[in-house]
Parts: sequence; C-alpha cells; structure tokens
Amino acid sequence: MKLTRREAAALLGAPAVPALPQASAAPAETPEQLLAAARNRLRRNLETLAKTRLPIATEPAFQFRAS
Amino acid sequence: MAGFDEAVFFATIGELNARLRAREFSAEELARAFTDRLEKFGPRYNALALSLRDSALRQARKVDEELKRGRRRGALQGIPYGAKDLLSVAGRPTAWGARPFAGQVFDYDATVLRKLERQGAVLIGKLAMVELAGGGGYRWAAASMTGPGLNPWDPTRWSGGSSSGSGAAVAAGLVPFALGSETWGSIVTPAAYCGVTGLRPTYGLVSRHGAMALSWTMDKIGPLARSAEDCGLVLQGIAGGDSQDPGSAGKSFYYAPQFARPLKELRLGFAPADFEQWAEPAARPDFLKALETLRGLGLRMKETVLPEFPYGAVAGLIIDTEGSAVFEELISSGKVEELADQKQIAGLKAGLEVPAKDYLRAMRIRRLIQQELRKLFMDVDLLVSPARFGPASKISEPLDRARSEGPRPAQRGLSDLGAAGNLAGLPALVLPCGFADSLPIAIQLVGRPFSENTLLAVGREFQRVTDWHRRRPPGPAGS
Repeated sequence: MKLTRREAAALLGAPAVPALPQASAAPAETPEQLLAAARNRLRRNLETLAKTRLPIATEPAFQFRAS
Repeated sequence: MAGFDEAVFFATIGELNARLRAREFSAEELARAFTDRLEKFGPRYNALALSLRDSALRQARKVDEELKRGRRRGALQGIPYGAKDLLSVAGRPTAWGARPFAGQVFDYDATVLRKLERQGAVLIGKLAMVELAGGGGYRWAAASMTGPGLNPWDPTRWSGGSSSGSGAAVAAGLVPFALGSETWGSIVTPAAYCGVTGLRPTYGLVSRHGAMALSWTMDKIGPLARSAEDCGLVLQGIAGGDSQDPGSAGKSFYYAPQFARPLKELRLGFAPADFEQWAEPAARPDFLKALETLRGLGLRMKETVLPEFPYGAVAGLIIDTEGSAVFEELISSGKVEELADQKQIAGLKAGLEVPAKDYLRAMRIRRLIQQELRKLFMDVDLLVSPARFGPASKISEPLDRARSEGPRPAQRGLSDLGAAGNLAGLPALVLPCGFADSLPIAIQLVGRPFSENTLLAVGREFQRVTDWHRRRPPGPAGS
C-alpha cells in the first residue's frame, strides 16, 4: 500500500487511541472563566481553613535547621 | 544472544537477578531486550519520554564485566529500570512532561539515579508524566506533552497520574521497576490503576536532589514494581541521607521484613464505610475480600476514623501555593500558556495570589494534623483503605467529574487518607487486590513515619496468599 506523505505522517503521529474531544461534557470555558474558577476554589479552601481553631502556640509544619 | 520468553518481562527483581547470576543471559542482553520492548510498546501507552538505549547498554556491559570478575553489588545489579521524567539525567533532556521545558538539560544526575547506578541497575528510559506533576490541578488525562497516559489493561482508560508512564511501563512489562514521585496521589494512583505494587516512602527518606520540585514540603520519590518485595529492594537502593536535599531525614533503609513484628501482633485500622459506601459498587466485592485476606493473615482488625480536619483543603492550598512559587518565572514570563491543560494554567496563576498568612495557616493546621495522626497511631499500627475507590477513569472524561454513584456517604471513614497521609509524610504501600469492570483495583496500607518494613512485611504476606500482582494485562504488551 502506498501512502502519501500526509497519510504517513498522520499514521506515525497517531496515538493508540484516537484523541477524543475534550469538551464533550460541557462547553469550553474561557481562560478568564477558568481563572475565576481557580480563584473560587482557593477562596473556598481558605474559608474551610478559617473554621479550624488554631492554638496560638501552633507552629507551621516546616523546620529550618541551622547548618 | 539469549531468547527471551514473555515471562522474563514480568519477572521480579529477585527472579531476574538469579537468572543473571546463573548466566542464563547477560546484563547487556537483558537491557537490550527491555529497551527494544520499551521503544516498541512505550509509545502505544504514551509511556515513553526518552529512550536511553546507548547509555543503558554501556552500563549493562560494565555490569557484565563486574559479574565476570565476581563483583556482586546486590539484588539490583544488572536490572533494567525506568525513571519518571522529573529526574535529571546529566546531558539528556528532562522535560518534566511539559512543553515549556522540552529542551531543558541539566549537567548532573539526580541522587536516586546515581545511587542506583552505583548498585549496577541499568536506566533504560525516562518515563512520561503529567506536566509539572499536575501542579495547579488539571482536568484532563491529556495534561502532558506526551499525551494522555494510556492504561495497558484498557487503552481507553487513564494510567493515572502524575507518574503515568511509570505505572503503565511496569504493568505492560516494559521495565521490571520504575521510579515515580508523589506529592498527593502520584504514585498511589498509577499503581492502583495499572495493577502494580507502589511504595510512597516517608517524607525525607529518599533524596529529591535532581528532581523537579512541586511542593518542597510534600514531594517524595518512590518505586512502582511487581511486588512488595521488589519495592523493598528498590527502596533500600535509593533511600538515605543527602546533604543536597534540605528535606532529607538523614536516615537509611534496610529491607528486612523478617525482623518486622509478627502479623498477629499488628493492629490494622480500617473503616467499613470505605469498603461498603465510598468504594464504587463494582469494586466492593474484591475490596471486601482483600479485607478478609488481611484478617486471615492474623492481623487484629480495629475500626477507625480519621480525626476531623479539612485534609483536602489544607493539602490543596499548600501544593497550590508552593507549586506556584516554584513556577513563578514560568507564570510571569507567559510561557505557562504553553501547557496542555487550561485548568492547570489557571490554577498555577491563582496560586501566586495566596496571601502568606493563609499559607501559614494551612501549615499550622498541618502541624495539628500531624499531632493527631501520631495519637491515632498509638491505637493502631497501620491503616488500610482502598487506594482509589474505583478503577481507572476514561481518558475521554474530565478528571474533576463529580462522583457519579449516589450521594456522598454520610460516614467519612478513612476517605481522606490520601491527603492526610501525604500531609503527615506517612509511607503508603499499594497492593493490587482484584478487578472491577475488568480493570485493576488496589488497597493501600499506611503506617507511621519510617515504618516501611512493617508495611512491606504485611504486603509480602498478602502477596504470598494472593496472585493479583502476578496478573498481566491483555493486548500487545501483556499477552
């Protein structure tokens, strides 16, 4: 079977499973909408963290070792 | 030239080592056979980032010379392996799975690779990964410059992330073992989805020098392999203090499960809700059987729940903040836009905006979590839960899709063990335990810091009485 260069290139570059459209479940979101969603997710996390009571003596969970 | 039957590609480290010593084949022949296979089948699963054929064959010839002289370096001598492409190999591209770093070359080897080389292991390739190990959060399995990691058990399913290539390559018999890394789920998930054994070591036990940082306080490097025994052998090879890793605990590890406490003395914490409610219905029968198998080994089962904390929110905030700080230059330069996953781009940008006080708050809650988990481990010696509640997701579906089967279970059980264990730096061992919808599922054992030998001893016994870790995927690389 003789393939054109374009057909050969397509075959060589083809993944084992054809790429499926990513936006099959929902309409594509704009970068601005995605950034707003990421900020909202962080804000919700911060609100959740604010509900945890922290004794004043609690140090952050990292250490600095003099060397 | 030795002829290699298919069984060789699914042999354990111990089996391969014995055959090398018996001169059934040379290290060079073995490295060549595995490299051929990795190059042939790796791209089918989008598992191969870079073949290292030439340097592998050089190293293998050196091993053969040593074996001829009677120089024995241990179980890993002459064993081929692959490494996640976030580990630097001097003079070769290390792309971190991300297009903006496609041409990146370091002039030094990662410490773990140097250690393995000294023991005669043969690095045959860099394995694909989710771009930047998923920093910022991603929506699609295709969040990688090599495409979605495809699962050897069913290529319409994901191989898991972010150590996607490491999981797929071990499962498909392309390497006897692979190195992966975990910040939150990146060894556990691909091991569970691909049906291989994975070990997330205690934070600080394995040097991260030469590895891409995502979260300085949470990153760990560990093996994915054919068995708990193999994970122990690899961990012994890569563990140890390293002055070049500020997070190093300065501890060594010697694989000695024979010195672990008898199983009948161990108290195993579990939560029925994990197996009966959180697990997807198709996975419940085999998860429950795994629980019975552990009980049958003599472990003392004890119902347990995690202390109440917002584990996911704490882990998410820490990783978002540290990850965005690591990649600040990428973000501010605009090159972040070259990443494949739009959600990830947005997540990295947003992470730069977290106020210091909020990051510190998360790190202070993390301290409380660590203290409370320490108390929990006074009542139990280890915990068990499903590694993932169901089998691998479809690559065509978004990874942040909400849970589909019914409402969220009322009881928390140990459902947050992934986040909790990573926040506290605890080790975890992933053991294949059955199938759901013809795809592998796995349990995870989690223990106190530096209790790897206990986890491995239980894992070894579990695998002595089960054969899930011996199953091979169908298809071109597994039949």
